[in-house]
Amino acid sequence: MRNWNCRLLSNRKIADGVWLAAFDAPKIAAAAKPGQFVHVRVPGGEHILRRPFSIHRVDGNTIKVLYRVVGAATFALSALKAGTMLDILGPLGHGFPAINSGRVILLAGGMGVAPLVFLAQKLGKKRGLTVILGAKSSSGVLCAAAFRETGARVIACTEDGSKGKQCLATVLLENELAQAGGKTTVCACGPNLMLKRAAAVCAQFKTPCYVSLEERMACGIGVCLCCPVPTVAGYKSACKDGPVFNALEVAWSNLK
Amino acid sequence: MVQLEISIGGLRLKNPVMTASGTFGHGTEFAELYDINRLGAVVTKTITPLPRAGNPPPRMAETPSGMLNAVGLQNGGLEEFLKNKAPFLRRLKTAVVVSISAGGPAEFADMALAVETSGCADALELNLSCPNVLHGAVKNMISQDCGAIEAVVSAVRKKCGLAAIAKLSPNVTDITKTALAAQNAGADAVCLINTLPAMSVDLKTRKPRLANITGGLSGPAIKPVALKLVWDAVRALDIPVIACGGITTAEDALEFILCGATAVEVGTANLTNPFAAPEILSGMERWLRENKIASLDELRGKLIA
Ligand SMILES: Cc1cc2nc3c(=O)[nH]c(=O)nc-3n(C[C@H](O)[C@H](O)[C@H](O)COP(=O)(O)OP(=O)(O)OC[C@H]3O[C@@H](n4cnc5c(N)ncnc54)[C@H](O)[C@@H]3O)c2cc1C
Ligand SMILES: Cc1cc2nc3c(=O)[nH]c(=O)nc-3n(C[C@H](O)[C@H](O)[C@H](O)COP(=O)(O)O)c2cc1C
Repeated sequence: MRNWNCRLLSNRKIADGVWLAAFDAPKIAAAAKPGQFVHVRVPGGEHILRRPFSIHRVDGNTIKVLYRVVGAATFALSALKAGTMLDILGPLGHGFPAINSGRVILLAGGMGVAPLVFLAQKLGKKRGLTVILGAKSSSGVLCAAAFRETGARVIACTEDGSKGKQCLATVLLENELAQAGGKTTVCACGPNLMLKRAAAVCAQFKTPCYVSLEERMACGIGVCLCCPVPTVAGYKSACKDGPVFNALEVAWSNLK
Repeated sequence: MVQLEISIGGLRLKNPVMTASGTFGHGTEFAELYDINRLGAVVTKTITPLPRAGNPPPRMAETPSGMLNAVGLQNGGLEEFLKNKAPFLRRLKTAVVVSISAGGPAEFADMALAVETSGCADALELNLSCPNVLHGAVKNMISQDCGAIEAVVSAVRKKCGLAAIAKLSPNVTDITKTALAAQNAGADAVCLINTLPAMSVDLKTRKPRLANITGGLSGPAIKPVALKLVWDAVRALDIPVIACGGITTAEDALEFILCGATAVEVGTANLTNPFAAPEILSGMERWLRENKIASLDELRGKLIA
């Protein structure tokens, strides 16, 4: 891990409020594992801290970041033009474990697709891969095509029924686990409520479940202790010990 | 070659660039990035006699040109420090300042002795000023109470031979009083400033942004406050003042030296740019060379005012 001066190759809107940025970052691309993140210094404005983003895709020397504009720094990022040089620290944190056997279900709520596309890319076509995409409404269902490209079966659902079944993503997860025989691993990213529910469902089916958690962070390298995640062994740092945790390890009742 | 050496009590530092407690861990993460032995001193995360879980999340909120933290002194306690952190620190080839905090004078002195005995420290920083941890019945920071400062510093002084730096809070009516209390009790230096007690509120959710409600403000936003307090303290004290607060660039560090600081501690800047401390050091050397100043002593306290 260290910081790199990376050229922004492209930066475009791909859905309502959601942008895709590509960086020329050979060192990060070579080292990155799915679930790891980059810590980006976004120039301009009154903010001083870096911003964490999951590594969304790796293509050769290029890394991609999929982000939603929610505040000052993501807004400033969306205004940057190709050619801008950015100070990026990474790859950081611990990602998803290597999954060597059995089938895999990826569960994404909204922007939770961000790290899971890279994971699907890495898992490749060999594996029976199912992707469950949940969102409030159809405009929040992202990256279905990107997942299909990796050979995955994609099923979507929305809270308002505007795309796919009208239900929570964890209901689809429960159906899948109830049907499937054999070894399955679940990897999930999305709102804490969804992850909490997913962890409970997986525990019920004795299915291993890995979740990517978000917490406000400063340093990104485990020194400032600003991003605690409550676990059964006390607080761990989202940035260094995570962001991916085994769902059994998380003290869900203490997670907001 | 520019002359950057300084001394604090009996301790010589090869240069005045130190790290601020809580923003550098115990140095291991930064040692993966650069040779931390280049720094004048490494100041470690405050340790307490017993482990502390720290505050629940969220612990951090960004504010204009700064940040609030309410970590709450999360640390593994003295025993864990001696077992897991001290061996790495003993191998460092630069000065190690171990930051300690405790409930009262006797506990502080016991901690000081244990750290001295372990042989991993060249000096102690007494954290009398964490805004996220209040001491006992008075519901105050130790450094808001001159009597408490004197009691802690003199208890440590009696039991332990290491140079002792008293780290003080900006949140007092008169910094010269608390700084003098530390000096009179035998501190070898004071470090100014710890974070400013502060809040951030989310109007939309009508909630505080920190679970602890209040936290400590740090970063560039507090530099002007720190400059003023360092300027005040330097003129009142005989012992060195170590400046801390928003130092992000070599120019920031030199401004504090100009106001009379003996050394500087780099804090939040480590979190935004992990190379901040060595960059500040080389920037200071470059600035001095370019301005044909052979020694920091030629600049120290030379504010034209
Ligand atoms: C490990 C990790 C990976 C992430 N990956 C992605 C991703 O791939 N795509 C994406 O769109 N977003 C991702 N996020 C969230 C993203 O970091 C925030 O949306 C972003 O920091 C917001 O910055 P802002 O200035 O625009 O918003 P503001 O709300 O103004 O930010 C204020 C402060 O809160 C922090 N913050 C705000 N929202 C979040 C959040 N959800 N999680 C953590 N900190 C937050 C900011 O970093 C900043 O310090 C990730 C967060 C983490 C911790
Ligand atoms: C995340 C964080 C944790 C901190 N932890 C400690 C600590 O354990 N002990 C201490 O004396 N100061 C602690 N501080 C205060 C800093 O050492 C420093 O005094 C303060 O942040 C002001 O300097 P800065 O603006 O350069 O950061 C902490 C600051 C931050 C931002």
